[in-house]
Amino acid sequence: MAVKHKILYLYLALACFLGIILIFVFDGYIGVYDTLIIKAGENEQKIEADYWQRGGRDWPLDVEWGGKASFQYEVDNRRFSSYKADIEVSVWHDLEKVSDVLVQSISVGSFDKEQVEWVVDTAEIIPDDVSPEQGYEFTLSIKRGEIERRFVVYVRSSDFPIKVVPAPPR
Amino acid sequence: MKLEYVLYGFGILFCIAGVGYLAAEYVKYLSEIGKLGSLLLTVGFFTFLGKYFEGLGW
Repeated sequence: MAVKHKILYLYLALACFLGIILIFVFDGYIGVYDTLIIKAGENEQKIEADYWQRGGRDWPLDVEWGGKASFQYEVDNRRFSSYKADIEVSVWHDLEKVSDVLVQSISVGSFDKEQVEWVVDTAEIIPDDVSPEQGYEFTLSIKRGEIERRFVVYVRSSDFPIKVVPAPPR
Repeated sequence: MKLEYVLYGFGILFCIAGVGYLAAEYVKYLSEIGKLGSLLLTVGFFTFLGKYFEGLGW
């Protein structure tokens, strides 16, 4: 009888250990995840949700002067209930809002995905008094409910590449 | 003989530290309910393991 109890305790301990592993796997999978695919010129970048979860800051993005950048934002709802949120995309410069790019409500079913697409035309954003030589940068903010993803967009002309100043000799 | 036990002790300590570090990294991304469930199961795991070793006469 005592031997049976001993084995039972061992099995229960193993069951608890397996339970912990299962919670790690299950909890890691369940949730709402967003993925962003950015196409600017010939470059394509994919930013997964774990970049932001690991504490990633503003994502830098280079766009050719007067060029366009297309964004494909995917919301993956891995939950047992549906997910609703408002997506607001706006352009900011010097802590002031320049323009709204997109305002859209989405409703994603349980274990389903929803995509939102938009294009940012730098020609419409850059002020007329800024020359290609000066370059320009702005912040693109993507808000999904209370979550915000920020991108710093550097608009440069290939005719005026960044000059690297050599360090002065010691 | 004693040196072997010291080395075993170091090995066990490093194993526990490694597993603890990995678990802490995983726990960072767990939801609150997941953390609670993991905590309860960890308590259960050590309790049952203790009972098992107690039965063995440790």
